[in-house]
Parts: sequence; C-alpha cells; structure tokens
Amino acid sequence: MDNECRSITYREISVGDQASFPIKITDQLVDDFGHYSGNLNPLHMDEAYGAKTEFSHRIAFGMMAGSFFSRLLGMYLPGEYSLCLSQTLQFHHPIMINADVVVRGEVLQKIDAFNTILVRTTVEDAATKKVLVGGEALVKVLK
Amino acid sequence: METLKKTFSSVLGIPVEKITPDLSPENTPSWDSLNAIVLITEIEKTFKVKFGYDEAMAAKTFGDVVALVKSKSTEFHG
Repeated sequence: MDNECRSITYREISVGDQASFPIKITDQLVDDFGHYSGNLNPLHMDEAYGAKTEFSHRIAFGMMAGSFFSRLLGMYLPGEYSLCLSQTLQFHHPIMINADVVVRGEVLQKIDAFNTILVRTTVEDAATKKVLVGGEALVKVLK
Repeated sequence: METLKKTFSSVLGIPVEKITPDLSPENTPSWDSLNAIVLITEIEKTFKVKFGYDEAMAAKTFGDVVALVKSKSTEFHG
C-alpha cells in the first residue's frame, strides 16, 4: 500500500471492507518511538537488558501498534475523511525486532446515525498470521 | 430490557440497578458524546436494528431509548 491518502466517503464504505499494509519492525523504528514518546524502558531500548529477560531480546513497544492503526485509519480506511473517536488495544504477544508484520483493518459495522464505522484493527505476524496486537476503532467519517 | 440495561451499565460504567428510565446525559457524566455513539453502536449490534440521526438525537433518556428499541426490534423483550 502506497503513501497516498485515500478519500473514501461514508456511502462508499461497506461492512467487510479491508485495508492492510506491511511493516518491518526495525531497530530504528523502535529507537525512534522510544525517543519520541520518552519511554526509554530498557526492555524496549537496551538489547543487553532484553537478552536477560524471558524474551531473550529487547522487544518493540506495544503502543507502536497504536501508531500503525493511526496510519491505517488516517491514510487508507477511510483515509482523508477519518476522525478517530476511540481505539482499543489488546497486546496478545510481543512484537520482536526484525519481525515482518501486517497491519490490517476490517469494517465490522456502520452506524448510520453518526456516519461512524467500527473497524477491527490487528497487527499480525506476516508469516504465521498470528495476531500480535488486536483492537477496535470507532471512526467518524466526515464526508 | 435487562440486556439494554447491561449495555448501558457496561458502556457508561455504572451499576445496572442505577439504570432508571430518567437516566440521561444531564444526570450521568459518563453519558458524553463519545459514549452516546458507543451506546448506539452496541444497541444496533445487539438488537440488529438501525437508527437514523433524528431518532438517535431524539432519545434523551434511557426510557426514550427503551421505547425506540422496542418500536424497532423483534428481539426486544421488555
């Protein structure tokens, strides 16, 4: 999926519509998120510290998934006309550094009274399809 | 009725026994604009009904919502 912002209107959306894009979780992404957010917890920022944990390595921030969902909704589903009202997150499994993941959204429900859609949002391991982070977003579609 | 009360209780974070017909945004701080949308989302899903904007905005109290759902749903037992 490219970096062009889609412009899908409420009327054009159907239950079951999907959008997705792949991301490689690099050291740089994790470092950038740590510095941007100010969360410098060593489980995420220090490989030597992470090596001594049950994960054997430092792991990515779960909240990075929230930023990926921001891109999903703001760029693709529905894109330009989205106004995110809420986003739930469930951290099912850690996201490891160098993992290839797929960020996916699927429209579960349209709420006509408020031009709002309910979207299932997931970050999946690209190879195993295991859901690493799940959640639901309520998104008002402004046009 | 009990299902609707449980939905309100869950979304608004208040005990089921506090859900009375005169419950409204005026006397319930957690019934804000976001939770109003969440309530409609949950009710439409649970009772398999759809509301228009005017209908949703006309429902000012829990009692109004009960009447609205009752008029729309064959699955409502109240």
